Amino acid sequence: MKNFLKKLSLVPDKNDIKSLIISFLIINFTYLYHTLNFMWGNHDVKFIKEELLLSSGLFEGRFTQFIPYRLLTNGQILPILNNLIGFCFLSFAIWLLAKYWELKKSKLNYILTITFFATLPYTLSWLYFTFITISCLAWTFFAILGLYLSSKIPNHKNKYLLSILSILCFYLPLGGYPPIINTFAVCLMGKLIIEVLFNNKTLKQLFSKYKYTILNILIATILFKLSLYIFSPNDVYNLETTPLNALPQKLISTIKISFEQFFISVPFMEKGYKLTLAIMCLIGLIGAFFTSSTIQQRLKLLVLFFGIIFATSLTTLLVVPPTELVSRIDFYGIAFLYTFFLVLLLKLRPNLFESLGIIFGFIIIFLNILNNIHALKVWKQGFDAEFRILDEVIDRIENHPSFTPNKKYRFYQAGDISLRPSYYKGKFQKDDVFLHSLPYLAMWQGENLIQFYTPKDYLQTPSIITPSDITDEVFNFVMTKASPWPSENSIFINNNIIIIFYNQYGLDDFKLKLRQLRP
Amino acid sequence: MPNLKSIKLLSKKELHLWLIALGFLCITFMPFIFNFIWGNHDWMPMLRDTNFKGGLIEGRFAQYTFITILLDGHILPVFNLLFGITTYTLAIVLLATRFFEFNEPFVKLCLIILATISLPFINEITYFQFILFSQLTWPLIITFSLLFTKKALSSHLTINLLASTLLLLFSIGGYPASANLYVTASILYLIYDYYNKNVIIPIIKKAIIFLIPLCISFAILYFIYKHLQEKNLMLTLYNNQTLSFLSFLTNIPTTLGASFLSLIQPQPFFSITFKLLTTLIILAFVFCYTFSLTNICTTFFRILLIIALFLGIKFSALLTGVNPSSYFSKHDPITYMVRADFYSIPCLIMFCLLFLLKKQNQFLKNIITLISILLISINTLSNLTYTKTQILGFKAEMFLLDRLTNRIEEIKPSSSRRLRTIVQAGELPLRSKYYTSNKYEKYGYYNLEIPFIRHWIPQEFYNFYAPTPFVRRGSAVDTNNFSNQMIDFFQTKIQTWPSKDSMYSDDFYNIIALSKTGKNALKEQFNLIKRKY
Repeated sequence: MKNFLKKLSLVPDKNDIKSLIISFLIINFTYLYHTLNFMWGNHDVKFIKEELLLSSGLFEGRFTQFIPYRLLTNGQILPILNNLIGFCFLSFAIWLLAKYWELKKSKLNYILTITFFATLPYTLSWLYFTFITISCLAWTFFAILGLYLSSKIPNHKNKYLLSILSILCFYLPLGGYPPIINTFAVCLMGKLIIEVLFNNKTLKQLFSKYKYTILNILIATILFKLSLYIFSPNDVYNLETTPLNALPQKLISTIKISFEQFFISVPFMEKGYKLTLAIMCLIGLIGAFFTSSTIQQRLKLLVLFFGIIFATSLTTLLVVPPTELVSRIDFYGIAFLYTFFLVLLLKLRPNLFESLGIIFGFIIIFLNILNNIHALKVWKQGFDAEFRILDEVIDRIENHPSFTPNKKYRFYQAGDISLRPSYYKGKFQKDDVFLHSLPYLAMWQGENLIQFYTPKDYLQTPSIITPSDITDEVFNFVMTKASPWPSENSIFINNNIIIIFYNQYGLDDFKLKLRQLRP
Repeated sequence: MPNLKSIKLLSKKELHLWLIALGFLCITFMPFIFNFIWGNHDWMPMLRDTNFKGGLIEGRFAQYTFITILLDGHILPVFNLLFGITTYTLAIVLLATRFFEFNEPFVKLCLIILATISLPFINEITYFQFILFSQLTWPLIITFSLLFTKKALSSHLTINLLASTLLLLFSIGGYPASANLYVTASILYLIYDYYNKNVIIPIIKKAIIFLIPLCISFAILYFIYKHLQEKNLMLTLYNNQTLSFLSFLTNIPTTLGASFLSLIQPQPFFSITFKLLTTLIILAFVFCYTFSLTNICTTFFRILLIIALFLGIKFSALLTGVNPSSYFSKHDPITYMVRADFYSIPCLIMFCLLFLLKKQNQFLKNIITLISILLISINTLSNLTYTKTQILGFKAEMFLLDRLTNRIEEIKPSSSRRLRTIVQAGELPLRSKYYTSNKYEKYGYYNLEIPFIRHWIPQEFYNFYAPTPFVRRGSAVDTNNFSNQMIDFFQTKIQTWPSKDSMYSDDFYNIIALSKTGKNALKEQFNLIKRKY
């Protein structure tokens, strides 16, 4: 086993281990505030109390999503360990990527690359939902391992074994989170650029070496599609793919998005920060063309650079739900592109580019840490504020004159309250829900949230309001008296149901529903 | 000026082992080190600090020594737990390297030490902040005591035994069950010695030497208890009752049985897998030790030593006389008490692993290494599950306290300056809400079952966050103050929390029926009083 790994250069040497340890420590320092304060997102409420099963992701076609959890934490979402395991996978993933992209081996280079990627605020977006943190960070490791193994196939005597392993490495993350295809594409394109720029490879040579990679990805994708067919998930929004006839139109908009994303600011990645990253990429690009010797090489590079930029938005092209400028999708795309440009700068000669790479690396890592810690402050304040409101809501319910604790009520939460934005004063062009505005007290988690801290469960789960619940009393209250939290009339309780109106939008939406139920 | 370089307290290997173990426990308990979660006895000490003499009521005269000397009696975040695990990890390293003198390769030794220090017994110790530091430091004091006794075997018998006795007395004066470690480690030492030398008489001599500090320190403790009771400084409580000699003898078979049973009985945070794995380790050791040779006489003596070991790990249960029908015997029986096992089982498991690792069988060595890694991961998962349960349970109970306070404040008394009595009937422990238990698990009293807000100290937690104290000490209703409304509440209205009729309020009292048990107890007591008067 050790020999097999050694032959593939997969055993880290002393230098690698030191780089990995230092990077791991810096990454953990960056997210320490999150690790210490156990916060969880709005999908996690039930899973935090109970446990994750292998089948928990089947309904949305994510059939491998909880394998890492079942194997590593016995299906539990655990404080400390959730982040530590996730960062461990991430550190190894980027170490492997540095090797895949043939970055000159030095402690500084490796530390810069690993830390640069892992501290980009895109990683933070994966800490919002604790029930998939480990898996979604681990998928990067498997994806890059798949690419790495595939690249070794031409020179390895046991081609079948390597192919099977790399197909498995591609299949696992696809079954857990399909937007990982962005990572496949960006990292592969990055490798092709490096081969053309530094090894002066022809197209024929490239095809001969990387046909295995493409084939393995294709096989994994077919297997993934077959698995989806077998598991037959529910008809959920995140499995909708772009119809063939819509592809040409979508292609143009996707190309536009893939270039625009360099300049559009999002929460905790404001204009100045995005520009710094864009300048670094531009210098990398100039450096690549400056270093290339022939027109032919430059033409190939031009196509490949266009390809790598487009690859960051591959998911946006292929699926119906809007995925552009969504931090957790970009984690698999543009975050790798930024890292590629850093690696490129560190590889380029003359030394000026390498020096610029080091300077940019340090500056951006520092900015990353600042942005992340700022975001975590906002998260914690929002988390505490929202749960304080939840406590007040419970208090109000329990003190309501019509409330009897021995009953099992049906519950409806109209609207939600998102308080993270209240604590963030930064400017941005496009919001990002995971980093910034998604509420902890999500509307569809109402009954689970109410019962999360209460000693007694007095709500039915699942809790669905039926047309028979809409009596005259309910209808009249909602239409005439109800008003959003914290008004006295923000809570309605009768013998069967409890309704809470968190905001005006929720109230209006509920009124609309009532009108449909009782025209 | 002495040559400082010659004073080498710890070897480089020991220092590295200690630092790694310390770092590992720090990571595991990071949320407890940096955030404050306190147990139900801690409300007052959190506000008013610990009192050096505060432990006398239970006869624990040394309980607050460390916290008084090092932290000036304050319960401090970071330091309280950090100091505790610093001394605990050092104790385990010294036990392995100095007392048992196992000199295994660094990585293997390190794995076994990590597997030992992370055993989930430590969780229950972290529950109470006010004794956490001392509870985690007794292992180090006892290790020093053991090292002095060991030294007495070869030189300066009297002076070493005196030092050992004083240290042991100091430790059992803080927590008597800490003697479990002394007894367990001593028996294991004798077991190992007999295994290496196979001669009976020297072992008996050594056993006598190990017994001297134990007997003397317990004899002194007995007189101290007597003295404290005479001076009315100490109460006879469930945790300081001892047995007569005859009862002690009859207690031996029961304890021995319970000792075996407790090894396999799953408890909260001690899963079936954990129990089976640790039992397997212990049984493998017993098998390899007892049946690895030679003649019947030796085997017989080894079996005797193993029986002594199983009694030794429950030494505190052997000495304690608690009424079997009492509340604590049912909910927190001493033979299954995790905080008492903390002083014996980790030492036993560490010894077993190291003993098996010493065997000249490469396959067994590999298996032991694998088992150590497996144990570390199981322990870490258990410890972090406990951490999660504590964090969520504490928060849920604090929210509950908040809502109870709101309800009390809603009904305004005629005089806002008057202190009131709160009678909180029943409790609502909420930690178990966040723990998926197995149906075979039993006895998780401090680990899982008891609440953070205990019914008999309402003044402590209701006044904790209040701008000015509004609750008086005590939780009983004066029969002279029975009003018609109060009688009506007890007789007809009373419901359980959160019903609006779960609380009665007037100018003097707030009576809360927090749970069904509490409500029934209130009604029962009221009927009793009614019949009496």
